[in-house]
Amino acid sequence: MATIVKRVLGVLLALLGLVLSAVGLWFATQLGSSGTAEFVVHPATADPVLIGPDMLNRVDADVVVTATPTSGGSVWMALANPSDATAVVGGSQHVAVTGASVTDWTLLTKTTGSGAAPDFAAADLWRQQDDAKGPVTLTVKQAGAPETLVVTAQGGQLDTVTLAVTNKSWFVEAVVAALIGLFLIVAGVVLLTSRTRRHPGPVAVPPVPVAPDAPAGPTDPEGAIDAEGTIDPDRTVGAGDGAEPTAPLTLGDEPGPDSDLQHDSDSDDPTSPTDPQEVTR
Amino acid sequence: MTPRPLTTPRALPTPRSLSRLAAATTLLGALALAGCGTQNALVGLHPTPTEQTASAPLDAEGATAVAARLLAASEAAAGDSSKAGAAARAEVLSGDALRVANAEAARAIPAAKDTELAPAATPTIVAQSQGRQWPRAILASTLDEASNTQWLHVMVSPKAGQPFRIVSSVPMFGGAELPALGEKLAGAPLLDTAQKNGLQVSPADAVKAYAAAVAQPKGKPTDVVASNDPFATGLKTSAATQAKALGRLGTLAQNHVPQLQDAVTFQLADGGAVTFALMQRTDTVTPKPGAKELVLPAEYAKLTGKPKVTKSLVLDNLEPIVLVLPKTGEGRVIGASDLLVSGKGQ
Repeated sequence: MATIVKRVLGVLLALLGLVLSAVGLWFATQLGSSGTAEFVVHPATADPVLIGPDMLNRVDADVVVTATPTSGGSVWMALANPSDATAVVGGSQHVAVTGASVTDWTLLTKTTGSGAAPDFAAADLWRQQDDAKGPVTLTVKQAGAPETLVVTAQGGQLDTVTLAVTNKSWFVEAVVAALIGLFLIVAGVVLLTSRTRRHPGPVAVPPVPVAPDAPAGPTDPEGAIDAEGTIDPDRTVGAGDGAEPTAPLTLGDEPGPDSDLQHDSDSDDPTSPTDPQEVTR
Repeated sequence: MTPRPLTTPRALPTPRSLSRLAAATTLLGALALAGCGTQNALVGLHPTPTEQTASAPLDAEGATAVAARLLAASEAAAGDSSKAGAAARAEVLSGDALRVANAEAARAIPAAKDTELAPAATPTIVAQSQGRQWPRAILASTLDEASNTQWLHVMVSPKAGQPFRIVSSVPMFGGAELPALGEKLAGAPLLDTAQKNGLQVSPADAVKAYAAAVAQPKGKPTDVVASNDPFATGLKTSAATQAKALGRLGTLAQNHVPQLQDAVTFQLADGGAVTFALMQRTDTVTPKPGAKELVLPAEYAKLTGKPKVTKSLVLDNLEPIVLVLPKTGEGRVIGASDLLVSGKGQ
């Protein structure tokens, strides 16, 4: 039973290790040694894009957002209190970033509202803003959290919006995960391949009668031991050259080397009939 | 001598294998738990911070940038009587300040010299309105180093999509003090000027009481607001001088009418209020029956287009004021100015 449990555990550990190693290595290669996670979305729209605090303010590190317009266009980008951004956008049609997918490193978006957006630049509620022809990058510091970022194209469409977060510990964690996975694989394999010590099957040995009273029984098939327990001198085997035992060393079935039938040198009964010395006397 | 049992038991797990089993189970359990609930903690994700809505809407840097931009733009647009100038002023001014600035432009009064608008000095943010709702207001101050005069400016954004505009600019009296409005980042609540807001009288009633008290030749005494400030004293002195100059030729009457539609009131830290309001003063000079006519000074003649009057001379002035109303006790005006904007003679 213990062997089965060990093997099942071994398989589980090895599988877990395999998954952990694969995930760790994948993240390590994706994040790079700098630990930079970069998510991209291609809005391909002139509608404003809103990135809320759920995306910007859940980490301690700075979040760098870069927006690139289509050829020839310009980008306007600004940070505001979440409620202010919501108020100024109102019910106008916009693209809200709702999450991020790690599997393909994309930003998940949802288009809501209707109608044209107002002139955001006219409002005096922006904590930080920038605009330029071509890509614009804005760094979101966590000291001002929570904040919402509003990005809009001017004279074109938004081609890409990229959100990058750098956390060196992510790379370290990925490597550590891979190493732990490797350890688990090794542990699992060891558990799978380790052998349980083999024990012989049960040995049924008839009880040995007390030596003085015991007749030559089944333990003395050749009748070498008489009724008094003495050995017939003519039937004594190997007494001359000493190359062979002077008496059978075992009784009954031949036990294995680890058998409990081996002579117990610590036995308290020196006259035990199983004692070879007693038998040969 | 009892025969020893010669049957062997089944192989039992050794302590070593048991410990390995326990360790493996513990490790698996720990990994399972890690996968269930601590994933966010492992990658350093924390819950989204909650927005503190009971605070100033802009940080000090943002509010300063807004104030500096508006003050610079207002100075650039001042004094231009053309349509383009009026449009430029309307982009940065509103309410009482726009009214005063347009009057200045109409009279071709040079900007920042005896005008209601301050020079574009570096502003200091005194307070912002509290909360995320609109309208929002910024109270900033500037120092006119030429005259060593401290100016107070109120800027208001009426809606989310509309920018701040200067609605009032008032010079403070020498030695006057504006009580604290509380922590700058916390903001000061904007109050309804017409409501008492826990005060003995509403700021609107206080302004009305002040307007009545400083009327000439005889004001209506009040214990709501003191009427011995430099502005009131100056009005009284000026009126007396004019009355004396008129002598038996005519009479002078000064009437002040509060214009409170664009008034802005901040709550002070001690529960009091500071109100930025506008009064319109009308000076009426009426010749006495014995006088055939009154010859006007050049300034009035230019304003009215008449060198002399026989029936009456009416001069209109705009008077932006800053009135501090404590939670208990008498209010006081800490800043004011006046601007002659129009006149009519008969």
